[in-house]
Amino acid sequence: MKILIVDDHDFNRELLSFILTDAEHECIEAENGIEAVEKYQSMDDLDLVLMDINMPEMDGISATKKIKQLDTIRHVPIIFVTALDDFDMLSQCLEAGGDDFVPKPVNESVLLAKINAHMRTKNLYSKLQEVNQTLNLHQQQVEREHSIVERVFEKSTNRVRTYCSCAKKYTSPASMFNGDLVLESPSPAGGVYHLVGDFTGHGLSASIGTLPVADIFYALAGKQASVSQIASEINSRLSGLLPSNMFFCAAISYLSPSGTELSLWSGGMNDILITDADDPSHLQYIHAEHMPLAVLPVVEFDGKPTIITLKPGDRVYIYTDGVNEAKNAEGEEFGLPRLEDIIKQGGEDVVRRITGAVHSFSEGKEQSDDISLIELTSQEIKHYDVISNALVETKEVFFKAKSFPWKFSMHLEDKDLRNANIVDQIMNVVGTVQCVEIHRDKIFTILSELYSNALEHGILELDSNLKDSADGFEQYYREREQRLKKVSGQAIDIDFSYIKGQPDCLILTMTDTGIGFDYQKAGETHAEGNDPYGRGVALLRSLCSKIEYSNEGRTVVVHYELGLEGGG
Amino acid sequence: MAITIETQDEHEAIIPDERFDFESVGPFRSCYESLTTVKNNTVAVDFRNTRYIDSSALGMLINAKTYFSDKGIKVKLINANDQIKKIFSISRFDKKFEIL
Repeated sequence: MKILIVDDHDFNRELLSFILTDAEHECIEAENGIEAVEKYQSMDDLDLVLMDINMPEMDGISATKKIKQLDTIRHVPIIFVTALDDFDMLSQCLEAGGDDFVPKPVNESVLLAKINAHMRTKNLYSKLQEVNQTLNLHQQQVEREHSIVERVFEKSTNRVRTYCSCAKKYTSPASMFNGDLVLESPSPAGGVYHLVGDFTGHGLSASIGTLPVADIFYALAGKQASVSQIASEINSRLSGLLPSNMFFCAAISYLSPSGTELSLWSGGMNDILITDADDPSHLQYIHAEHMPLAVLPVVEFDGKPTIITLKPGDRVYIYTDGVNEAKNAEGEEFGLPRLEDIIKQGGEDVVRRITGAVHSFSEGKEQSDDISLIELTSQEIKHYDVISNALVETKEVFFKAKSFPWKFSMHLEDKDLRNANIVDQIMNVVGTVQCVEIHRDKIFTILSELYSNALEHGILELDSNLKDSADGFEQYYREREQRLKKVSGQAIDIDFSYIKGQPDCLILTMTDTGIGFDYQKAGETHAEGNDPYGRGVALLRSLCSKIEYSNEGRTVVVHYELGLEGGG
Repeated sequence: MAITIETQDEHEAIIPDERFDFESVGPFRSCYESLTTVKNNTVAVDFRNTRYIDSSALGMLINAKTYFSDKGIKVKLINANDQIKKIFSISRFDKKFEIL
């Protein structure tokens, strides 16, 4: 142990030094207060100071004050060596920052015992300091990570550059960290999708699922998917991701462009409340019909939507349970009746009044859960740019994607023709080109019509007339399977070309090696009749801007315009 | 190609999968022919999961309609997405079915 001995008498210093060196301590000596302060400052490994009181230049009390003032970090005990008869002096020593006394004349065993006792305290102090330091570092690290994660969450949940005038939204700050989620996305057709949800649990672990949920929500909204499909996809992804005790209560809604049809999937949420435009005190309750997401395995999942017809001015309220379960200082819950009272009063600022009421209710109490809330008003849906507030035609945003010109050719032979998934496989390639993606559903229909015609009528020589009864219909497809097995030496060639223009155009050419196809007869529309066949060519004519047969019906060329509506 | 049946509040519902095309011909027919009692004399084909259809799907629906109309049962088409609704209207299905 390294000990600083401060005394103006050589004899006293030598005696103390002798005792301490004998007990295997290292000793440093100072002759007065000034020297003591200097030595203390120059040595950062001192363990303890033995201090005399009366000294020239600077006395022990002043030196102690100085040392304690200069060093607020280290814990180096200062023990005064003094006669214990002047109580006034003793209290001055303690006030100056002294830690203990050793009576003069010095008794060896008392001195060593005191030093050991202080060393134990000092060790405890160092350990505490170490732990504190680790804790501080850890906290800084957590804060850094939080701010990174916050940014990632912000970016991933806030991707849409438009907002919708029909929706008022509220999410309490940083509630994302507690697993609350409110998402909005315009649909290509002009309507609007919302998702309001709450993961079970609290903290970062509760919110980690928001990332895949946001990914799925935005991707499927951009494809005009139904709320059932969105719910089902989220359920399937989360089931594989979350531990079994975690799940996601959510309501997913789609409001049609006219604002009068609301499709809703709700699982594990509170009742959704709807007020009447003419009489807001008339409340309609929409129960959550489903289990929360990530509870049911994919095969048991139920995507059934609720379709609600609204009239202009009707309002829909979707909220997380943080609203009704907010507690006041007495532990009482805000509760549904309070919420319903505010909603029933109607008006333009219901969302603001609810959040205000919840906050003043739970004032003085740390918010136990975060609150998220949206209000949808039935009206013609309009989307605005978040920065310029200019009206945005979402159709144009979704359909403006352009591609460079390209061509894509396939030569399908017997074994490829027997592959039942061939149209899927082709769509998986062609459908991912950015400008084609949004038209994928219609291009699927066109491709599968052309392919069925080439295969069934050209190569397999099947006659549509077979299909004029339900049995015949089925027999037709059985026959198709039988003949397909025997196909030999046949082929279908498919070419896609993407042509730049006004609008851009996709040209699809299909040629088969079969007997030809009586396209004139097939072109006579049967659509008005009740026959279960003969709609294919009529369908093609309405979807395509141009359709041309040649080579006795073995070759067909169709043009599909990649314009706003797509097709002809 | 899982096609399922569900009894909903106002009717029996037949729910095709994501793809409703020629491969569904057999399963779809056995599905609707298995319905022995029909709530409110109404069968709904619920397209909530369906994204792709082709003209054989139209044929299957016509067959189902023919099958049920003999029994005095109405067929409704529900929850179709906008693309599928467009195909229905191109094929004048709005004159043959109630489309919701």
